[in-house]
Amino acid sequence: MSQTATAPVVELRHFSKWYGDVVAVADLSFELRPGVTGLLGPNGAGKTTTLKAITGLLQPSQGEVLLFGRPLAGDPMLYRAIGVVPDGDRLYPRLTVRSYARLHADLQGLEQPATAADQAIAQVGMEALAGRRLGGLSKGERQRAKVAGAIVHQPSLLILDEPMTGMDPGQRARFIELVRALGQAGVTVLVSSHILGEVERLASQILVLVSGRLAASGDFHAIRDLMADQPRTVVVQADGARELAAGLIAMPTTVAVEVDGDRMQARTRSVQAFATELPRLARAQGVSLREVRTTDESLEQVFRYLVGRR
Amino acid sequence: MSELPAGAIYDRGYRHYDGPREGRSRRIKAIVVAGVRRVLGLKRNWKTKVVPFALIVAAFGPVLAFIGIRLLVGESVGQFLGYPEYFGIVAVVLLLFAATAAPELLCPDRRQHVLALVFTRPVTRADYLAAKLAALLLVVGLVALLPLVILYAGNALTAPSAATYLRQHLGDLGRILFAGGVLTVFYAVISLAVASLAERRSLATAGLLGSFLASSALANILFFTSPPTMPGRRWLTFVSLGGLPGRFVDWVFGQRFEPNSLAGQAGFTGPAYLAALAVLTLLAGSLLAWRIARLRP
Repeated sequence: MSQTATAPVVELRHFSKWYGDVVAVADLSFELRPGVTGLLGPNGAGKTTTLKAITGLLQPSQGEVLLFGRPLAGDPMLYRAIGVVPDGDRLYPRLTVRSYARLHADLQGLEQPATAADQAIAQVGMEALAGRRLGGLSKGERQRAKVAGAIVHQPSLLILDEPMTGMDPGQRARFIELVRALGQAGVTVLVSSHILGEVERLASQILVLVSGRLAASGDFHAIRDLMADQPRTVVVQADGARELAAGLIAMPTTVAVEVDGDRMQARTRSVQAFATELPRLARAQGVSLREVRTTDESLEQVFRYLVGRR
Repeated sequence: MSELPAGAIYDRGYRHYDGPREGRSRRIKAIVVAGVRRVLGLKRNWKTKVVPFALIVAAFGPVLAFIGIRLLVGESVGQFLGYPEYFGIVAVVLLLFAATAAPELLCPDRRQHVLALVFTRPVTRADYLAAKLAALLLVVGLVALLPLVILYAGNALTAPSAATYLRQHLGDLGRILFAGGVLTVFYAVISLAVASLAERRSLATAGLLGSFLASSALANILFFTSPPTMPGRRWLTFVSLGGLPGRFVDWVFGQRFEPNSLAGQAGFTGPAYLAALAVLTLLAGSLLAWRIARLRP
């Protein structure tokens, strides 16, 4: 799909969607560029509505949704550059994995559909199951078959709605590897998921929806840095932890300090101030630092904060 | 998110497929092939083949048996199985076939929630509708036309002179194709329109068969129990969905309506029944297009 150097792959401009009196999504604006982006939000936050709008399955009540700089409505050929894995068990149970991938290759009008289908099946690691009927597969295997159908034409944009549902840990690991590889290869991937730990492994860029509104977007570490009212926990291993604690508690940005032997756990409102003061104190007191790390940098913590402050 | 990343190195080993793409016909063909396979139960277990193949046997069985007897006994058997009579058999099979095949084409897509998969590919609603209709026309056409064409060929080949038979009965071939074509389109469009209203196959099948049987019964009851002087009474003949194809076929093959029948007493000629079939097909086609346009994936 040709696109200008500056045009985002996906662009939502003041997108809103309502059903009667119920507002599903309100005034949502964001852009997506190559790489993997996680779409997060509690149930009913508007994730699926947003994904449906991006994939053209519903029309905005207000605002615009542009793909490759163009509206999808009335331009079905844009689907040639898009791969979509909708949520739920949306499959023909009596088709085999191979015939399912082949059907999608045919719908995409590929010149060598059989070869493309086999390649997609190999990409999701289902060669051994290619002749099996979809209805006889486990949920995780069916999810992978759906992904095979979505990537059969090597799309530039891949939309995955809850793709890891039902996958066992091994399948999840392989799936994460595949999506990361696609993202690193320049594919724009948008993954919606409830499983925060896995989104964390998949994507550094996130979009967080809460009650139909965009609560945060960007790199989740950067978002964590913006959560200034949330003290962060720093664990320090040092020979003179107690002496260090006395110095650190005097800092106005330190909220609490807990010492257990040579291990100290401090909560601070400014990691930057903490990081500047800690080595100075250690040097002044002749204390050697063995380990310094933050413990609440997880996506889950960011997510809980964003959802909780609505 | 709106800022471009400071730097990114992409593995260019992955490239979006920029190769040749087949056109619209390929997409439609893919759905048609999948639909025909589904309707006939091909590449599926034996249970799914029972109904379609039983109906195909019912449509082809009599004609093959008749030709076999003529081959054994010869011309003396005569033509006890005329074309309009055979259309009478085929019309029943066609109704049953369309009532089971059309729901098989449309209902599972909604029930199994696969429309989102279809409509996030370069497939428009018009492509989807055209493909489903083409799949049904193919299989219904197979039942509507092929047995009659085989019967015609059998009559020609078992006649003392095939050339003479063909010369004298060329019009019959045209009538077979015309009547078979009209019935194919009528049953296919009506049954798809009914199937588009239901999510369950059984409901769609029951709805179609019920509307044909009930409308015929209702038309006859109302016609024969109402006073002959009642205004508009003769129009009740068009209420009978099940009767319209038969009256049309009778007209095409030059048969007179039974004087005591509803059609015989209503007094309309054949073209009126053709017009009724056309109007019903158009209405059903409009309903079908409206339903497909409003499908929510």
